[in-house]
Amino acid sequence: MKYVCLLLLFAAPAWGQKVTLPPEVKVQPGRLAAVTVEWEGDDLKYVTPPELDVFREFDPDVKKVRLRLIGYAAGKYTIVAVAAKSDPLVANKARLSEFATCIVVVGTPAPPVPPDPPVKVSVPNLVGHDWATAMTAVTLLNLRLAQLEDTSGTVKSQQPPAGTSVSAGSTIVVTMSTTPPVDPAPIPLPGLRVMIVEESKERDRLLPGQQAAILGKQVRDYLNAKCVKEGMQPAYWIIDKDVPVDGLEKHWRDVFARPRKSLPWLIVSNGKTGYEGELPKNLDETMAILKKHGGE
Amino acid sequence: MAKKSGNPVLSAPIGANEVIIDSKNYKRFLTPVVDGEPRKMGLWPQHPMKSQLRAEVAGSFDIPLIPESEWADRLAQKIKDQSQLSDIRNQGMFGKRIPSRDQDGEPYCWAHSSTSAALIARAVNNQPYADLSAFAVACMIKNYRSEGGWSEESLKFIESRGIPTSKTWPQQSKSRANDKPETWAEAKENRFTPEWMNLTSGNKALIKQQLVTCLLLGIPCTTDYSWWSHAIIALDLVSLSPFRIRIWNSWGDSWSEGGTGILEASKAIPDDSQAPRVITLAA
Repeated sequence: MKYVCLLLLFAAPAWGQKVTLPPEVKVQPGRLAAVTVEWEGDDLKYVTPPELDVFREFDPDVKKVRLRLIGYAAGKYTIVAVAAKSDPLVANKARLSEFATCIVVVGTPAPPVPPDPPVKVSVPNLVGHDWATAMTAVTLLNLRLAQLEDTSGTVKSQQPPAGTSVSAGSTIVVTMSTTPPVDPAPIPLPGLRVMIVEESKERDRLLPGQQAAILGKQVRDYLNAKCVKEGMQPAYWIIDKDVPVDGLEKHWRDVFARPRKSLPWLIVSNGKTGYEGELPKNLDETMAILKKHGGE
Repeated sequence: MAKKSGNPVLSAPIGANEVIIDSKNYKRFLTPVVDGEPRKMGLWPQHPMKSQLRAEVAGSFDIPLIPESEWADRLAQKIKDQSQLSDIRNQGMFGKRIPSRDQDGEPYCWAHSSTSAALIARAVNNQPYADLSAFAVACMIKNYRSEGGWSEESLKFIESRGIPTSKTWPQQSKSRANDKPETWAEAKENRFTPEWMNLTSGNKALIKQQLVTCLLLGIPCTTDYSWWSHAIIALDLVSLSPFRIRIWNSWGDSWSEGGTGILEASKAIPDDSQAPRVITLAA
């Protein structure tokens, strides 16, 4: 044990002077420890050993001194403190309190704790789900999600694939489909109904496949054969965006009023399922959409 | 009846009995007889009133011209897709061919050209066939007189008042009894919107480019021909060499083949033309 001695000039009968230290403080090497000195009297003296680095913190309560200390070498060190108070009967004489001591035990460093073995989870199948659903699924498994394009549409592919065992915290990269999700039927009536909204003034900008869908025989033949009849007429319209539609039935006015992101715009409904989106650039894609909802 | 001539490399199909009018045979069609009956044309020559009308309706040509270098490819595509206006006409009446209008000896070609354009515009929309009555338009404009006019005049009328069907104004009727409020209430369902365009008259090269642009984009054009004193509607670009277009006449289905014929080279380029793009919808 190492000691530091405090030089005392006065004897110590008590006249209200007092000092208190915690008897022992334990601390790991290099870590901060706190020691509070509580005292009464006119003055306080304390001594700390040189092996400890000591800082005195400000404390609004003047009768408390908070010491912060760090020891780097293992061992036991002693802090000694004493309080003094002036003698009211004898000039230039003070009376001292009892010595207070605190043993600071700087321990040996704890051996490093080996990290927990990584938790393995199975990658869920995200294909076909929208972004929000995929995000919920991976978050519950403590995984992360990243996408290659925007977050619209549904997951087209994922890496790593579903069923792969990965560490918790791993990132699943998904590719979203560019095709808008299939909405419920835009027209709540049974039977195939189709509307193409275009801008005849801008037809020169259309690709051949789009022009063929608007004016060509293949699409019209299909629609004439497959669309439900309204009166004698197959239920489809190919109309300009600027045309007044007041003369149409309500379900057509409603579908014409639906928001469009671009032109030409294709709306297909069979009463149960449907499609709303840009008129595909390729005629085969347009026919595929029509056949998906209207049958071969 | 003229037979088709030439051997164009790229050409839309031409009917076996479809007439082809060119600079050699055109005089035969200046005094037409259909089914033994003489037919009239009715296009007025240029007239000071027309300049006044043009100033009032001045809807200039406002779509980009398709470069001549693209014409052949676009025509080939339209032939392949069967996306010409005559293809649409051929199934525009509940799956059957829309019948031709017949001006029946009256000089009302200029009202029939616009009426035929309305029939085609409706068919492009897949609107149900309506038996539109051009005589209503002509009689109201000319106060029942047998008098010539020009397509632009009738287009302006159709934009403001519309065309009734034969339910309220029977075909080829000039009876004043047809002029009833219900006639014009019905006519309002068939109006061109103000988006129709005037092609540039007086510039043959430019009007040809504008006409081809419209036909390649599926926009019908009323076409007024001074050489023929006749107004009709242009439906298709047929070939580029020789330059041929398909027109839809108003002399009934008996004329040529199903009422359509082919104009070739200089005879195909109109002196005046309008392109009505949008017609109101009526279910």
